[in-house]
Amino acid sequence: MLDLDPPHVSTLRSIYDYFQQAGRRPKNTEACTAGELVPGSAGNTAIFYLEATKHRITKVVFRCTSCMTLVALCEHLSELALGLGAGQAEKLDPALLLRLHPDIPSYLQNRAELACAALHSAISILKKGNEL
Amino acid sequence: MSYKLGKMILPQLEEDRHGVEVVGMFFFEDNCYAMRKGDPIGERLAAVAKRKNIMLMCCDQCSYERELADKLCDGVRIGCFPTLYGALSGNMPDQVITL
Repeated sequence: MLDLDPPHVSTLRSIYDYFQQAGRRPKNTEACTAGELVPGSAGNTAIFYLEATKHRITKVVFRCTSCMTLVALCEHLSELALGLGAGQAEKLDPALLLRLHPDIPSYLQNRAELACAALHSAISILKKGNEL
Repeated sequence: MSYKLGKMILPQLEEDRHGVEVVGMFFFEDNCYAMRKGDPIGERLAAVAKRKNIMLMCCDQCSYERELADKLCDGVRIGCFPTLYGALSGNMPDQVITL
């Protein structure tokens, strides 16, 4: 379990809020390291682009298919990952996301696994390059 | 919703006199409230949908916004357009009616 202090983790904002916020996230991936495009169920995919400075994540961009739940979870992960080092960022997992969003129906909860797998892929590549 | 679905379409489906095979219904905006667990119309529709293999789906964004995503009648799912297209791909409708 990731132990993050408020306000880094908010339990008050909903999937709907994060979906709206995702539309405002800059899409420029310049200077970012791309993770792998990770496939999930029902044709969904996700990929994260990260930039790190002094071994901290300083920029997060993502692309994913149009499933609203997936978009919202990727956005929430992006917010959580910002400013973290590799050790903490790797602890961002599906269980944490689902605890923060208990209203996600069971048949959509695999979106959390896809979002986390995509983020972890980018973290792994940054680590290999000793950027994180 | 109360008249068109509750007093016209739903009784026709329940009494097998609607005239065509209904393969799915998709609900947007405040119409999603009708599919809340415990809603009289929603529960009747969910029951007839189960019997007739009718896909019932509510717009995911509309449902999350109204805090309904996990409070819908049994068998009713939330989804976006790709989910809807996928769900209907095995039995594509010949006609689409918007209410």
